[in-house]
Amino acid sequence: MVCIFKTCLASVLLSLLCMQPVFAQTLVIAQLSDRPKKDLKQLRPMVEYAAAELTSVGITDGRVELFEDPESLIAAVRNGEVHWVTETPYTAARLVHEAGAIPLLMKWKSRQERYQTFIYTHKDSGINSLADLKGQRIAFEHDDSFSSYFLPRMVMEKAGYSFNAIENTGSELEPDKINYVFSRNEKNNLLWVHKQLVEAGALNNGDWENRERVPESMKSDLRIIYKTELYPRALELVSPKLDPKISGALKELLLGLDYEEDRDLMKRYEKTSGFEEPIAELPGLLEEIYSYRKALTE
Amino acid sequence: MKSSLARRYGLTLAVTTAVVGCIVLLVNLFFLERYSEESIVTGKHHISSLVQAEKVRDAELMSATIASNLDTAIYHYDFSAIQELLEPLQSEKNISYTYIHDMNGKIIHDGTADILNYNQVITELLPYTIQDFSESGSTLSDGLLHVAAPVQVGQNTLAMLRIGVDFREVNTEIDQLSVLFEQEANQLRSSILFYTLFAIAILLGLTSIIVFLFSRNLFLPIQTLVDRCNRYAEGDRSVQFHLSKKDEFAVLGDALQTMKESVSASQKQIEQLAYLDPLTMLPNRRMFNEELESMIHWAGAHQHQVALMFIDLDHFKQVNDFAGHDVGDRLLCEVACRLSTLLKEVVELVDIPIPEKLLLSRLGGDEFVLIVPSFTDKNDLATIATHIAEVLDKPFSIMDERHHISASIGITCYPEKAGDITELLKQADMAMYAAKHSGRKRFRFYDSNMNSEVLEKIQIISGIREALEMENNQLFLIYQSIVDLNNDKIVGAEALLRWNHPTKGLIPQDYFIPLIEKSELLAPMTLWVIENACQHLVDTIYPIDKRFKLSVNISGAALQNQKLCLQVSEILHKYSLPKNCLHIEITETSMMENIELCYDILSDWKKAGADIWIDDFGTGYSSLSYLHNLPIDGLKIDRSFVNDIAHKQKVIETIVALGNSLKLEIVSEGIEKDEQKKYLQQLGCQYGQGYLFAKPNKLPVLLEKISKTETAL
Repeated sequence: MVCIFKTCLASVLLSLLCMQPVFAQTLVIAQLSDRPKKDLKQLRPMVEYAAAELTSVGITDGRVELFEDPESLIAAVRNGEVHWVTETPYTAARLVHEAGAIPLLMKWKSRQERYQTFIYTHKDSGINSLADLKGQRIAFEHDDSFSSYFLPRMVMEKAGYSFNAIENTGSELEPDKINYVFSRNEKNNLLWVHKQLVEAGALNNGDWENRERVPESMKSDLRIIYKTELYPRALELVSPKLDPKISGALKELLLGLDYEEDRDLMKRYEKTSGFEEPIAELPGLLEEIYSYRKALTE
Repeated sequence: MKSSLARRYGLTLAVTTAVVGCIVLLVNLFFLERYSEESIVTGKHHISSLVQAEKVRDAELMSATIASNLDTAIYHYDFSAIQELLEPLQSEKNISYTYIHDMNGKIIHDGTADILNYNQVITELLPYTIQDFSESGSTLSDGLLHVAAPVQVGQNTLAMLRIGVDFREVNTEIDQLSVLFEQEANQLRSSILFYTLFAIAILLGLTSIIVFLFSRNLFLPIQTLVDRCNRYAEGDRSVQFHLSKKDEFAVLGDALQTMKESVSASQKQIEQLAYLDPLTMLPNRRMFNEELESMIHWAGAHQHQVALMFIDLDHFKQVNDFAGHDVGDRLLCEVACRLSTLLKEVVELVDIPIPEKLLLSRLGGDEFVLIVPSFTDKNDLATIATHIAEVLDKPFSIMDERHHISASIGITCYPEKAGDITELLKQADMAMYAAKHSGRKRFRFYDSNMNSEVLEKIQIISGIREALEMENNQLFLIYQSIVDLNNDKIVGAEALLRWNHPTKGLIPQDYFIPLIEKSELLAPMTLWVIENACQHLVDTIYPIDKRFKLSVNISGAALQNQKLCLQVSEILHKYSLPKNCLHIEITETSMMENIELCYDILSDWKKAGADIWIDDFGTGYSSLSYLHNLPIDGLKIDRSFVNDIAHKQKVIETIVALGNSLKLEIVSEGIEKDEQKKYLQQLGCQYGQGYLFAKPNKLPVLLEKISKTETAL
């Protein structure tokens, strides 16, 4: 990190020394990643495409940088080492608040412009509302999940429910709280509910509607008891250090992409199906997320 | 040679090898087949066992491996992780079921995405019965391998993983593998079969070639010997049968060589027999003919002359008769030797351009012929003939006895006298004949008169034979008286043969008697004379004078004829004639011809009843010592001494003295004059014969004279 920082610093200093208004620059896109190979593969074509398209604003080539922890990413965005980030609303909220990142565009993924979280139970569970979950078990995917942990917990806590983390499905339950356990993935989440290892589960509407993930046969045994509000699917952010001309040109470029014409490029770019201008509610949503996260971590 | 030994041997060897090879091949194939079949059966069994064992082991290992990884996922009910872990099983076609159940038998996972059998009791799902839920290991039932592996956390068994492996597919696989194995085994067998057959074929081929080459090489010496034999048969005499390699064929070759040499020797002998006279080893008549033929041919082409000398031995017959054929043969050999030696010497004396072509041959009996090629001067021929006559005139000493012969030689010339062999030989023969009749140790050149001369002699001989057989009085005896010189009394007479030819009249005795002596008529003629003389004596003379003695001339050849001697004895016996009435007169020469046998011969004649007188005494080759020993009764002094009495007194005196001292009677021949008679009478000679007393007269005249003297006395 220090090394990257130094490099960036050196390049900035160098640019200052040269005092040139437009100079050769590499466009750097970044993301948090625990699967670097996959993510690299997903990001590289787009950044290279963008770099090729943005020569007019001094971009000569494009590069992908992946970060294992949010702090490093935040720092890199903040100091301008990373120019461009594509992330979930959860991480975007942190970048905006901690690194001063500027949300450039909202990204549609898998033909989903927004997404929401469904709380669901087995039909035989006898649970019909969130209130019935008190003293019961709910399965979230994992603590990094926005749609299947952060969002539903935030919503439910705001609604006044409190949570108790349990180690596994067989752990002792707090009768006054909603006992939550991580199912690790949406598949276990679904099966645990279906096999009634837990009373409820949380899945985003994208997964729910995906028949491969939730087969109809199982779906028929299940019941949705709560749906959250819609949230942006993903966000394109730029570093505050990035030249507004470049960010502007980038925004222009991405908005100019057509799903019919540029399907391959877009699909490879995390199954992107389109971009839109940030909506007016976006800062509020990000603020809400950031503040709940802060409360949660504290 | 279609059925040559080499071919047959090679073929037999090749066929035997092929048959043995084929039998070995068939036996091998039989065992290969059996080995192959049994290998396939055993192989299939092994494959089945191995595959089964391997599949069971694989299934157990796979179950154990998966089970060992399932602990955490099961503990956390991490269905997705369980499914991921079961993923490899799901992808296996032959896995008919996968169950994970807890120790209560409740299904935790069945491998499906939505775990349809979740929470069901395992026993309801398993197609076979288990005793308890913790039962692990593998069981094969109904074509399925049921494998159970415990999922353990530490010592505690958390759950059981049960999988069903479809073994029908394994069995199918085993069957396929077996089929594959069988196919490969069959391919291998076919391959072995092919290579075996190929190898056998190559080996047979090679063996055949080796056998062929070996046989050919083995029998090559035979072929060589056969070729040489053929060459030898075609006349190549330079062929050698020795072989360089020392083996059985070399022995055969040596044997053939020996045989060849033996055959060559025999052939040489045959050639010698064909061309050489086996006795003298001189060229024989056949060679003589061929040589003379070629010589004439050559001489005709080159205008040369060829002379032919016919050499006939005189008195050879006597030697043969007296001394036997062995001596005769040895004499002939000696003659051949002398002549051969002589010819080598004589060529130095005469001018003969090609002396090496001088050819002496023996035609048979005592006849030798000499071809003198390319002579230039007839004097040379005369020189050669003279030398021959001289060399053969010298006595021959055979078996410690001396024999005298001589040679009569007839000479003729080509092309002067005749143009072909037959004629030449006939002319030479005639010339020889003429020489012989002109006296011994002579040679004569042929001239055309000789033809009529010889013809005449032949006519004479046949005329005598006819006269003898017909008894037509052509032949008759005349007698010349022998008188006692003391009283002129006729004491005896010498019978003399005369021939009165019907057309030619009286033939001179000197002409025809020698011819008789040389002919086969000698014995019958002698007998005829003695028979007639004896008959005359008995019938006509004895009535007048009982003491009368009759003399008959016996030639040398007749003297030696023992049969004749016996026949004479029979005649004397037949006429009952007293002893000593018949005198046989023999010449010194005939006596001396075979001096060793002479005593016996004369003794035989004496026994036969004849007295023996020596005729013409003093002219021949006389030996006084023999005279002393031989049974001789009297001597007749040759007329030549009496005729020349003035000069031969000493001789006559000596003969008379000798006769008297040996107590032999003596007759003087050729007394024509009274002085002669008186002189001889004075000397003491008892008897005389000659014209003074009487000419030879016919019997009646003799009888008359005898009567006269008888009455006068």
